[in-house]
Amino acid sequence: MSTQSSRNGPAAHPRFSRTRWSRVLDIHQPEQELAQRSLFELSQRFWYPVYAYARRSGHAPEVANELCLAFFGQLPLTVQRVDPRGQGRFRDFLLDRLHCFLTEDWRKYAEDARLQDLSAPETLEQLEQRLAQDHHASSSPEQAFHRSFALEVLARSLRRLQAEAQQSGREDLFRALQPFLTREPVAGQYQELSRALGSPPLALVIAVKRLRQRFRELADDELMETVASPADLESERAALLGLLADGAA
Amino acid sequence: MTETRILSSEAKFAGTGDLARLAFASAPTGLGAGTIAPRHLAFLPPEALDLDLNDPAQRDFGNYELLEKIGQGGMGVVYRARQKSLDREVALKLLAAGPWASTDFIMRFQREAQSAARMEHPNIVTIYETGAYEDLNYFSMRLVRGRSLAARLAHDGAYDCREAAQLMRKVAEAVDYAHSLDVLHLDLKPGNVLLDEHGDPLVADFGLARRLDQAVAEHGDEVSGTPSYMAPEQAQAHSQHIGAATDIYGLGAILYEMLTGHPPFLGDTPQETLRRVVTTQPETLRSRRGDIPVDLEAICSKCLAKDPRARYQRAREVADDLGRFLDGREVSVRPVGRFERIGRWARRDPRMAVAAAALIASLSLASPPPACSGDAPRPMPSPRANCFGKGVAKPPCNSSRTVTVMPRSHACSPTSKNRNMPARSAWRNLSGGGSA
Repeated sequence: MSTQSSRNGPAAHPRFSRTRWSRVLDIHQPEQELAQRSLFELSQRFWYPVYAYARRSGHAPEVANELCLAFFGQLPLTVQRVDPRGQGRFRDFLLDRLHCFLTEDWRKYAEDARLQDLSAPETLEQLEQRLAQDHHASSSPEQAFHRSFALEVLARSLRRLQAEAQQSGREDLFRALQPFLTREPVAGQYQELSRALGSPPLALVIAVKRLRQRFRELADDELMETVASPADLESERAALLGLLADGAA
Repeated sequence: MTETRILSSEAKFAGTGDLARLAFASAPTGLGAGTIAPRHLAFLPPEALDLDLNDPAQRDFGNYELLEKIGQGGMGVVYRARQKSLDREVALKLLAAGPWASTDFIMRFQREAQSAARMEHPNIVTIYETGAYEDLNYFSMRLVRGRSLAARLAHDGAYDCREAAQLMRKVAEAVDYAHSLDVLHLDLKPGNVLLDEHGDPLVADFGLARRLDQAVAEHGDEVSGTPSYMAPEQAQAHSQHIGAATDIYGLGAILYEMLTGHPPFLGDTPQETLRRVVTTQPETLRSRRGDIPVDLEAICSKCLAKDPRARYQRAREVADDLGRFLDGREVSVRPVGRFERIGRWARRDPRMAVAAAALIASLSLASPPPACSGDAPRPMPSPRANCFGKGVAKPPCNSSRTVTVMPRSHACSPTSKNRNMPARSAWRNLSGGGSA
């Protein structure tokens, strides 16, 4: 589902004119190099959904990883031939490009990708572990792709949240309060934590409130990079919620 | 709900469905609308510090009783509070640096606040105390019962030129005092200038606001706050160039807005504003508002020079030039010719000017005119003088010593005292060497 703004190129909204996807939509503008770099950076974030798609298509882990290498290596160059402006959101574009890519003899691109020093952001073992926990065996490659995309947005937001806590030297606090990101403490739990951490209960209440809020900000920030207008952001939020909220694979 | 878990090399995360609801189903954060820049976890948004004052437990803040919320900004939330130990009302600012802020940052901030608390100046908001209560960091300060200059500008628009100069002269003097104690503000803007019940300015948050913003910038990839008042060296993060001249730029930016109703630079996004701050010149004051005197424009432009070395080097110099402007004297940034100087003096002291002119006229009549030599004098550049308002008679020639400019009209009569003024004294005044 794409909106008018994304079909016609970068949105006029200033905040969205600087997202990576907006820059990709500017691919035919003079700053083509910037558009290609933006697409490369953005696509690298979503290695896992492409890997999940390849695995659900029946490829072995090593082959799926090889496929990812080849795909991400050639992706920035393909947009010279394909106008991304007809593709709507980045998620749709990525899947569409993957479909096209798989109709070719993709192995010829793998060596080029190695020459570019391209490598997976996670080890095969980590990718396999995620796959085993995130998906039912019966899910289709497309379902696996979309669900993994949504999970990747959440995972990236959480990693950034944890990194910020580390930057402030508050890892202990993060470990203690992370469980309350999605659930309310039971009676007396804040007092218990207060004794354990040496922080007053009021400070813990505020810390949890801020943790949740910052997580939402980071998720929005992650998602914004993949859309080009406020309307696209809203529809993408709803779509990803639909993919994950019922817990179905 | 299937308790599916997201895998991560760093951490085991909470239930996926709940996490998705938190991320995607909650009220929008405002990032999409471009209203809030992403900030680090360590910094609390104002709403997190919005305490429920109907709750006695939240109203009680150690040695303070919180009475009323009176303001908020990126740096924190300000409450009117009663300091129990001294039974006085103060302003208490709860800082955005909350439970997630690093201890190192808190210590640096407290040191900065102690430094700022040394200042005692009628145009600086006095800081009483800094501390932490229930892990919430705060500082207390004098309660100013008025509004900020930003609120005044938003409500009533631009200032009259003289009023703007008078107010900014006081602000510049306050900044000069702080600099003499090695305290820089580095975040001067209308929102940090409070106006008391008499309309007098008090500069707030010396050295403190910037400390928080710096920390945000260190941790985040977004510009925090509004950069419309940032000096180019701040916008480019050239910390080695940040110093007193950075505050001089801030003075110029405030003066600019007081005169025009707009900051010198304002883009659609903070990044666009920053780009303009660094690469473009602000629209000239007189193109925005035709009645701004050239001297005031020159003072403001000097403050807003891109190169810190091209600005006034001391806030005192800004205050002095604004004082000269208010007195109608020559300002340091726009030297004027002899005749304009005379015209300015005549406007400042019309009775003395007429007396001097009359004396010179009588001396000229009493003695033969000197032989004409040299160029003819320039006409008076300004026709606005009280006594010379209808223009000036062009003299037949120019003497090296004697000024022969004569008024056509003698609307301002000399006093008897002035009539008897010795010629030497009159000349001293005319040439700018007197008490003018």
